[in-house]
Amino acid sequence: VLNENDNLNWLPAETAAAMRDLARTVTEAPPLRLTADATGLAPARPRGPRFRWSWGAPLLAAVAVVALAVALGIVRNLPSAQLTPSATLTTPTPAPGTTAPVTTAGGLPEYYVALHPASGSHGAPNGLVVGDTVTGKTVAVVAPPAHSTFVSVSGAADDRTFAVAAAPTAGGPALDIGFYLLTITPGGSPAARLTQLPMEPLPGVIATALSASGKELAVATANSAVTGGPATRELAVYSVATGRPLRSWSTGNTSAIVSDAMPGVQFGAYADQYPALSWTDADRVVEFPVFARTGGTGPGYLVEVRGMSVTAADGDLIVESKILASFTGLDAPPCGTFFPMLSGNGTTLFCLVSSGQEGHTNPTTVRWQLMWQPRATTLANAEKFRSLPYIKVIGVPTGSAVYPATAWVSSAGSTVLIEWSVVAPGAAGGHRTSIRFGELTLKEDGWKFTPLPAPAIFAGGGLPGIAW
Amino acid sequence: VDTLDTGPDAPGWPRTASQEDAAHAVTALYQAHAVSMIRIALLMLGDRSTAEDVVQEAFLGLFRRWHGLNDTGKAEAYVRSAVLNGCRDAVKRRDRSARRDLVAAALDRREPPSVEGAALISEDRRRILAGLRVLPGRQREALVCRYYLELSEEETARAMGVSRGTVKSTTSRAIAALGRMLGEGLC
Repeated sequence: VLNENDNLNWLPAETAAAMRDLARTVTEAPPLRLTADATGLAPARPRGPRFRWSWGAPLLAAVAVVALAVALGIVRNLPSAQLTPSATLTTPTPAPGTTAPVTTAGGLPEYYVALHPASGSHGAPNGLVVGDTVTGKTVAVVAPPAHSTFVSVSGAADDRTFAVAAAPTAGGPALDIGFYLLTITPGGSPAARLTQLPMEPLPGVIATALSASGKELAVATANSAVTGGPATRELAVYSVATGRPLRSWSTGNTSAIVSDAMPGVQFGAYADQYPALSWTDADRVVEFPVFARTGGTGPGYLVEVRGMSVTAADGDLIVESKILASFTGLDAPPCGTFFPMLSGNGTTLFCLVSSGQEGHTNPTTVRWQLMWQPRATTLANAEKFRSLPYIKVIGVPTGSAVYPATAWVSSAGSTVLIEWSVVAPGAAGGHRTSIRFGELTLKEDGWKFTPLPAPAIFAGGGLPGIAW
Repeated sequence: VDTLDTGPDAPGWPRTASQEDAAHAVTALYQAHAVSMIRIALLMLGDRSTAEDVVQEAFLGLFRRWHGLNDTGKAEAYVRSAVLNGCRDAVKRRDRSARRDLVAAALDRREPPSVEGAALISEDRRRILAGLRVLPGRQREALVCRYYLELSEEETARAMGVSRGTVKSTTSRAIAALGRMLGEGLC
């Protein structure tokens, strides 16, 4: 029995423990009754009292949504086997049937190309490994050029042609990135051939993307980190055949492409690459994000996905480009990831929201929810668009970090390769103790996940890069 | 790692493509979050079946509004908000129809939520839970937010739609009242 002089400092903790005890008695939920009657969309009939809905600021945001941008290679497919042969960028109308995407019977591209330490040990210069998407078997291994390490890879729609960026291993104040073309011929000898592109090495490269036709290479640079000049972002399109620049646009808006507002961004010194560019709309448009912290009394975050027509005149990147999708968020980056992945036809963005707010399921396990959410762009038919998300709930050891990613999206956005991995507390070197990788396919009744062998690139830290 | 795939099913629903998408999405969210939402509602209401009804209604509300959501990625936050609002409304209805008194609350503590629950919860903590049930709704909500959900004062203020100062004073009064009830043997 307490008296008035008792100190109640112990009571909050004991109250919390009592509430947790009671909460733990709930271990299951009855089925959700989404019948016509229950939803209130059937012919009107008397219903019980309806609950007031609060549309205010998101509540109970106790745990921040974790926005994870895994630097994966940017890849895409093409709609209806339509490719543009344009090398001069003056004839944007695609020519039909010049190259068909090569896919497995299930619609997946057959092969991937991923960065891989050339000597097999972490920290060694990156070579490349060509792998079979379905079986996981290695098809070819490619060593890096002398004194170089590969830093990013992107693929054309034929699943046989890949552009690879390489940085010098010696480092230095201005890392000039060189560009190569990898052509794979499964069963051939050699199975993979690497050739240097006739492009001058470029400083300050932050993102690259090979067009679906394999004829153009989009390159984004942030030169201020290297030159010390005004902060800029530049997007340029080069001819793969000649190495000459075909178009370029720039802006002083450092929220564009790879934003200064993103945590952990470091330009220049480490040749960090980001999955910030992709080609869409039959190679007529290069897509890039704009991410900004807005602050003040409005929404705290802004993410735009913009499309730059390759026929637009050289000029300002923001002025000349058009918004394909725009999201705002109060408490966390909207759309989850900083780099939402776009389908090849430009209609669908995949947002990826990951959160660990489910709390403890027992003292040693925490529930995480991973959600891949298709969002319509301005190119989509809003009436027919299916926004059905795929949700994965996992239980992980308390203190774990969870890293999900969208690795590849098909042209129509109905087939997706996804990955999620877990770093358990105390794992040596941040080694991922659990990796799941596989194919999402959109069926009549929702998304179906089919596990596939996980490419080795997902296993460790360092600089990832993979493309299909 | 224990994984749980989503497998939404909504028999009886009059379907169009978009409605079907919404039904599957909301069902998947329900499978992911229903237990945690019911736990919150149970703490707020002290009654398992009412808690389940409130959560059910919250997800139905989400379904009805699915296509109007500005950001479906925040659907979970909307549901939590709806659950808290639903709990407040349920408390008001209950208080209007049959105002519970301390005697009833004292009886309640002799009715553990389940056989398993009885084994899990010590007598001391059952007294605290009984006291929690007779606190005014806003005080109980403040304690649930602060000590069960482990929200900050700022986050609790936003969740309750009050100022941070009100959260501090409400929480303080709730703890004092709980301590007083324990001291006086009223729970």
